[in-house]
Amino acid sequence: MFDIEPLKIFWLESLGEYSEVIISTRVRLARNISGYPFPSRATREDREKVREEAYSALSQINLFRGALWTEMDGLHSLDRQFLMERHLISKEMLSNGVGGGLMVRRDEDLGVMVNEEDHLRLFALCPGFAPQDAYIKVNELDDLLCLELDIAFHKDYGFLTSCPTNVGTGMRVSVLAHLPGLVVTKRIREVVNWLRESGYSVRGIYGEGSQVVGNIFQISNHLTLGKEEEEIVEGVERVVKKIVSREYEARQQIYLSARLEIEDKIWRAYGTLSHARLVSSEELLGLLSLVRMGVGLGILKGISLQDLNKVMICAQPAHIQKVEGEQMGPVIRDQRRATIIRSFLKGGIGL
Amino acid sequence: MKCEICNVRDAEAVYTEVVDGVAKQIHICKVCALEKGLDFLFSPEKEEGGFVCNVCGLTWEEFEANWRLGCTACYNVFGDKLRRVLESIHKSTRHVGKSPEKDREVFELKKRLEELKRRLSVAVDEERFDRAAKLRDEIRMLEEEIAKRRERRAKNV
Repeated sequence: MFDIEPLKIFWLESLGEYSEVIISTRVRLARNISGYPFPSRATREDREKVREEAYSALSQINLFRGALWTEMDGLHSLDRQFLMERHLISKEMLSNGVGGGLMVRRDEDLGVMVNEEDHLRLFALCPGFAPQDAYIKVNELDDLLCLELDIAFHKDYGFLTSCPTNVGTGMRVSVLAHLPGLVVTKRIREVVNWLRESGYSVRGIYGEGSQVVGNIFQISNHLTLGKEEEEIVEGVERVVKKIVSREYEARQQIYLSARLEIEDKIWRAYGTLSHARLVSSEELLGLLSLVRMGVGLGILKGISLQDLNKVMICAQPAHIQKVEGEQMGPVIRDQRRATIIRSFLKGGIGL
Repeated sequence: MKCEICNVRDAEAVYTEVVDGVAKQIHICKVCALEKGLDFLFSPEKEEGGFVCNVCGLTWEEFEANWRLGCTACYNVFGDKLRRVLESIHKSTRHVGKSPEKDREVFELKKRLEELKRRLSVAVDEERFDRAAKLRDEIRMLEEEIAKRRERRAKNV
C-alpha cells in the first residue's frame, strides 16, 4: 500500500505561465536496460529482474530520498485507477501490472514508471506552461540514472525503445490545454489539423486513445529521432504559444459578441457546481470548463485556478472512493463528488 | 480485400501508418503504393520475408502486427527494413540528441564544467575581467581533462 492523501496534490499548489489556458506540462523520457527483452516480450521473471534493478538504482538517487515506491502486482485495481487519475501511471499499467512499479516523489512532480511499454518511463510534471523546466528536471534524473544503470543506446538510433515511434531521444513533451474558445468558435478543427501537419499529436486528457472531454486537449511532439532535446522543447514551446494566443483571441471574440449569454452560462455553471447535490464526472468536466473560462475572463473572482485543477483530479471515481475508503455505486459517488466539489469551491465567492 | 486508398483495385500488400502514435494497418494495391512512394513494399527483399530476431525470437510479421520491437537487438537484426520504418516515421535515421554518460568521473567533471561556465557568464556580466580570465583558464583545463579521459576510455574499449 502507499500513502497518498487523495485530496492533496502538491505540485498543483502553484500556478505556471499561461495557466488560464495551459493546465500542466509533462516531459517523459523512455529508457530501457540493456540485456533484457522489452516488457511486451519479457517473461514474468525478466520483468521482475528489471524492476529489482530499477528499484535498487532509483533508491540510490538523491532526488528520490523519501520518495514513494509501489509495486503494481499486489495493488488493488482501485488503487491503480487512483494512480492513473493522478497521471502517475498509464492506462497500459492498469491492465498489465506484472513486474510494474512506480517511484514518485512526495510532490508527485518527478517519477519513474517501471515496466510500462518500456522498462523505464521517467517523467516530470509542472503546473502551467513549462516545457523547459520540466525538461531540466527530468534530464537531471536521467543523467543520474545513466550512471547507475546500463541504459540501451545505439550509435545511430540513440536511446532504444520498444516502439519505434519513441526511439532517439525517447522524449515526449506534452501540455494539457483547455481550449473552450477555439471549440466554441469552431476553429479547433483547423488548429488540430495545423498541429498534426506540423508534427504534433493531439489527444484526449489521458493520452493515447482517450476521448476529448471538457475541452481539454493533450498536445505533444510526435517526432523523437533526428532532433536534439532542446529543439523538441523549443518546437513545443513555439506551437503552444501560438495556440495560447489564438485561444485568448477566440475568448475575447466570444465575450465581445455575446457578453451577457456567456456571463450567464458561466454563472450558471458556477451555481450548479457550488450547490448541486449530485454531479457526474462528465457534467463536472463540462461545468468546470465554463468556470475555468470565467476565471480566465475575470468574470469569476476569488476562485483559484489551482483549486479548479485539483478538483478535476480529485473528483474522479477512484479518488472519491479512496476518500471514503470504500467502493460505491454511481449515485452515491455522484453525491460524494458534489460534496468534494463544494469543499474546493468553498471560500471562493461569497454569495 | 479492396485497396483502402483507391477502393477499386485489389489490395496486394499491407503497410503500417502511424497517426498520433497509433499504428494503423492499411491494405494497399500496387498502383497506389507506387503513387505514395511505397514501392519498397513490392521490392524483392519484401518477398524474402521471414526475418526473425535471433535474440528474442520476434518475427518481422509480429512487429508489423503489433508495432512493438522485442529487444534492443531487433534494431540491428531488422536492419534496412527497420531503417525504412524509422525514416517514414521520423524523416530521419540518426539520433543527434543526448548520449548517456556512463563514466562517473567524467560526469562529475562535466557538471563542474557547467558550473564554471555559468560563473564565467556571471563574471562577464559583472565586468569582473580578472576573474573571468581565471575561469576561462580553468574551463580550458577541465575540457582537456575530459577529452583525455574520453580518449583513454575509447582505447580501453
